[in-house]
Amino acid sequence: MELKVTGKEAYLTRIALSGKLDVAGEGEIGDEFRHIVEVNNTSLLVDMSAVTYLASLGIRLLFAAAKSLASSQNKLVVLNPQPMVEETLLNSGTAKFIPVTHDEKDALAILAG
Amino acid sequence: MRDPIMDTIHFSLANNFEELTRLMSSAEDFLRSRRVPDRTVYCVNLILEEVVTNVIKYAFKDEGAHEIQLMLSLQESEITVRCEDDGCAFDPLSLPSPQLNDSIMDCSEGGLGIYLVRQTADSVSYLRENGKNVLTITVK
Repeated sequence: MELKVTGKEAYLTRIALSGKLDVAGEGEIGDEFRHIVEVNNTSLLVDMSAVTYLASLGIRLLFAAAKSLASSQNKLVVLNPQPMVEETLLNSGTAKFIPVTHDEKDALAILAG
Repeated sequence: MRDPIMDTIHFSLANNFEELTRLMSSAEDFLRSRRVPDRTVYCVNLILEEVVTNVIKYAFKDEGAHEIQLMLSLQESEITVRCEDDGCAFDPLSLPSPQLNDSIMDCSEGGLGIYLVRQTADSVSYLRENGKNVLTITVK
């Protein structure tokens, strides 16, 4: 599992994840992800186009980040998840707090809104 | 150990996450060798990970080694997963769904793993048998 910070703007940090976000994957990138949420007072755009698998531990990572960001009026949006990853996110019931989109313009509009 | 006639594979693993990684890899190899569709492989992987993670994290009150028995069985287009452990009696189906309220600040995502299993599977059943928890799950 890999995490890359692909961009930083005044109100937004862009992250790209790749690999399997399972127990092992969360162990590999979880601390870095939480650190980014903690130190950047910005919203987060998480590109998940290269994430091939998502388990509940990964959803908890995203959810905890969204909750932490909400406390400082920031947001987290997931961009371009693969079909099964998106289905898992939707099945988890967390989509109303973690918006999912396949359009970067939509993502930016959600984050700015 | 694989039984080619029944198209069933049995796994025995210790209650730690290294063993879970080994299980996931072996189970995926088995399913791919049977040309199971990608979507079904994904669902079975998710179910195995969530069920076994739950057992490793919550079933045992002591620090000792325990054995978890898994069976994966293919019958036509249906896959059955059976998980047995000798941990404390616990029916995961009794867990409430995660509390996802209107405000994220009031939400608790506890029970998310089992909730995902229930959302992904076609059927889930639990019984306590001979001092063991037995969870049986089917996916089509």
